[in-house]
This record gives sequence, C-alpha cells and structure tokens, in this order.
Amino acid sequence: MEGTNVEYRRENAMVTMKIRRPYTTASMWSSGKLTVTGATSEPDSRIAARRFSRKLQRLGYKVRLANFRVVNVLATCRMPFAIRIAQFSQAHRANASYEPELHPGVTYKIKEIKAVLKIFSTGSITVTAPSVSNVEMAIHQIFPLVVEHQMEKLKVKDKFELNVHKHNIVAGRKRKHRGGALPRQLKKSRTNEGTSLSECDTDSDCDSGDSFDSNESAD
Amino acid sequence: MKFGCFQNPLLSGSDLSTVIGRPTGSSGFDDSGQPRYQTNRRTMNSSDRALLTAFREISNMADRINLPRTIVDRSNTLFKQVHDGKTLKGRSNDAIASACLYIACRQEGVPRTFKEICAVSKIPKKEIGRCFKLILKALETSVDIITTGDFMSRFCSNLSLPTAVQRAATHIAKKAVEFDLVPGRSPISVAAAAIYMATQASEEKRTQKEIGDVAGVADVTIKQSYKLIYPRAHDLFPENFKLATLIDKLPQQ
Repeated sequence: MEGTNVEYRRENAMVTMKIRRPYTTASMWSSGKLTVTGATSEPDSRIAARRFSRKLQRLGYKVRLANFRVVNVLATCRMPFAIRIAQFSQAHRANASYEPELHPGVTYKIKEIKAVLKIFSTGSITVTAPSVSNVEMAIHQIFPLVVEHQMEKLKVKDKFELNVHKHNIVAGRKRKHRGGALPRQLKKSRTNEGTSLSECDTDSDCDSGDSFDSNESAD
Repeated sequence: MKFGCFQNPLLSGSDLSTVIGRPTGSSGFDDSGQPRYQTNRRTMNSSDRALLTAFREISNMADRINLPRTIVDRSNTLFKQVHDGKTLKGRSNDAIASACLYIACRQEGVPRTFKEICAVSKIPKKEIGRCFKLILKALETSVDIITTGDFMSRFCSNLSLPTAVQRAATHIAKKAVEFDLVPGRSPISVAAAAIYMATQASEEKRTQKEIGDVAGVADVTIKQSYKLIYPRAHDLFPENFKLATLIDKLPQQ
C-alpha cells in the first residue's frame, strides 16, 4: 500500500497516517484496529476516524467503522494561583504521590472516575480521564482541595477564568468486516503537541469547561 | 547433623528443620584428602534461591555506600514481602532489590537520592523509580517526603566542610523552603544551592561543579536555584554566622 502521508514502522508493526482536517494521527494495525489521536473534541475524533476509514476504502480495502469509542482524554488547565504541592501531598497521602526527584508534579488519582491529575506548583493541572465528562468531574473535585493549599502571591494576574484546554482526545477502534477480539486498552498519548493545537478559538469547545466561572475562583 | 539450628528467619520457613551439617575431624575426608560430602548446597535453598541472590545483591550494594546493617535487614524484609506478594513478579529482581534499598534508607530517616542508589546498581533510575512506586502500592505503605536537611550532613562531609558551614547551609535551605523562594525545585537542588551560598560566604569556598558532583545535581541547576535564593540572602543566614565574605560580595550566580 502506498501513501504519501503514511509511515510504516516494522518494529512496532503498525502504520501511522496523518490527515490535515481535523489534524489527527491514526495508528493502524494489520488486524484492522485503529487508534486515532490528536483530535480536540469527541465528535471531532469520530469524524477523523470516519475520514480515515474513507481513505482506506478508497484504497480498495473493504472496511467499515465499528466499535468506535473514546478511550482517553488529556486536558490541561491552569489555576490563577500557585499551589503548595508539598503541603498538598502531605494532606492527601492516600491519593497523592509526590516524588520531587522523579517528577516535579503531584500525581493525584481519583479512583471513582478513573482520572489521573498532575498538579504543579505553578498552578497548572493536567488531567487524564476516559471521557470529557470525567475530566470535568475531576476538576470540580480537585478545585476545593487545591484552593486550601494555595500560595498567596502578590503578582496575581487579572485573569480569573479557568480555561480548560481540551486537547489530545485519544479514541477509537475500527474493525474490518469480520468478527474479532475485544478492543484492547490504550496507552496514554503525550500532551506535548502544544497548546496551539487546541487553542479553542471556537469557544464552543471550552464552554463546558468554563462552567465554573469567576465567582468561584475569585477567592 | 544440626537439629533446629538458627536459619535466616527470612528464608523458607523458620521451622525446626534438621540440616545435615559439615563433618568434623578426619572422617570428613576420604583417602585422597579431598572432603567427602559436599555441603548441602543443592537441598538448602530449594524454594527461595532467588531470595538469596537478591539478599546478596542488596548486601553488595549497601556495602559500596557503607550502609549500616539495620538498613540492609530492613531492605531484606521489604524484598521478602514484595516477593511473597508476587505483584511485581515480572520485574527484574535487581530493580526490586535497588528499590527496596531505597525505601529502607527512606524509612530509617536517612534517605539516599535515586542517583546515589543508581551509582551502586546497574538498573537505570527510571526503572528504580517505577519499581519504587509499584512497591509502595503493593505493600500499601507510604514514605515521608524528603527534606533538605536529610542530605546536609552527608553532602557537607563529602566536601569536608566544617560544622559551622554545615549548620549555616542547613539553616539557609530550611528558610528558603519556608519562605517559598524555590517552588517546584527538588530539595536536593535547593540543598546544593544552600551549600554553595554557605561555602561562598565562609572561608571554605567550593565551586558549583564540586557541589554538583557530590550531590548528583547539574551545576546549571545549582545556578538556577542559587539565583532564586540570592535576593533574600540577608534573611537566610543564621544570626551567629561569621561571614568571611560579606553578603553583598556574594557571587550573583
């Protein structure tokens, strides 16, 4: 199979393909399974998966998109205040793990919604969860906990909004037209694709994230 | 023969088993002078040969950095617990041994940095870190967070600094953390920067490179942390510290 936007890695036994709109990457295996990463919203990742399957159909493979599910969502947000992470990790021994030698942030796990948050002393927080609603729940839960341990800094900027930049929605499974095994669990993908990617200038995506507005964060 | 003799209690079953011991006197040797009956090396470590290897490895590692017997024993106990739990079965035993040694040092109140453990082990820091987190989860324990003071005495004695300087450095680091001058910096880097400040103010000066060597920190990292604590240098020094170099004359980086 030829393609100009395709990379074949023999060591991982998979093909990586990218499309421009929406800007996403798909990893394809010979079993017919597909992993689509880089979309900025759940419907977007579904559209991307369908574009990929269309491309494959055009190339002559008899395929159909089946078993599409969003597996992993990575999001970042920033608190308008700095956080005392040493105190925070002491207060939440059960769920939080802070090893300054290994990673500069606290890893806080919320078991019930299966979310993992990385909390940094600058106030930025990275959330990884199985869906966008879980991400929002996680932030709702973590905000009061983090406010308790904020650092009173004098150089507070006047931005009091919490911008949840949702980016890197990892999704999907696509199957060829035969029965198959259950889809496997995915590994998380890195969020370092740059915030430019998700700079929601369509604020429609960030709306639900902004649901708790300046009133809450003002103290 | 020995009846119910003292075996290593960590090994397979400390019950009153009977072990065939080494022969004494001339009966132990046959006509050609060679010892009869090799010591029961095959039957002794039936189920826990891996444990013995690991214990030996832990002992070797601890030896290289002169750790006391208490830490080695604690480390062995941790390893046995992890081994029995079987949750980390797939991991390299050496990695688990190194991580156990790290945790034992932490629990005894004399933590060693990951880099120090790396120096005596062939396992990369990443793997030791991973095993460390897994072991904490498997044994459902937690460890105290490291502080700057934990490392002061070791780093300062490695640099052969007098106690006055060590006390000053400890004070500087503690105050720096209290005043939140260094948010997000590893305590090791802060300790190194504090030592640098204290040594530069005393007669025993040390370069950032020397301190970085001893602490396992890059000299640019010391420079970064030093830049953060330098503005408040006046408040960080202890009261009765004799300044060979005035605070204003301290280097700015």
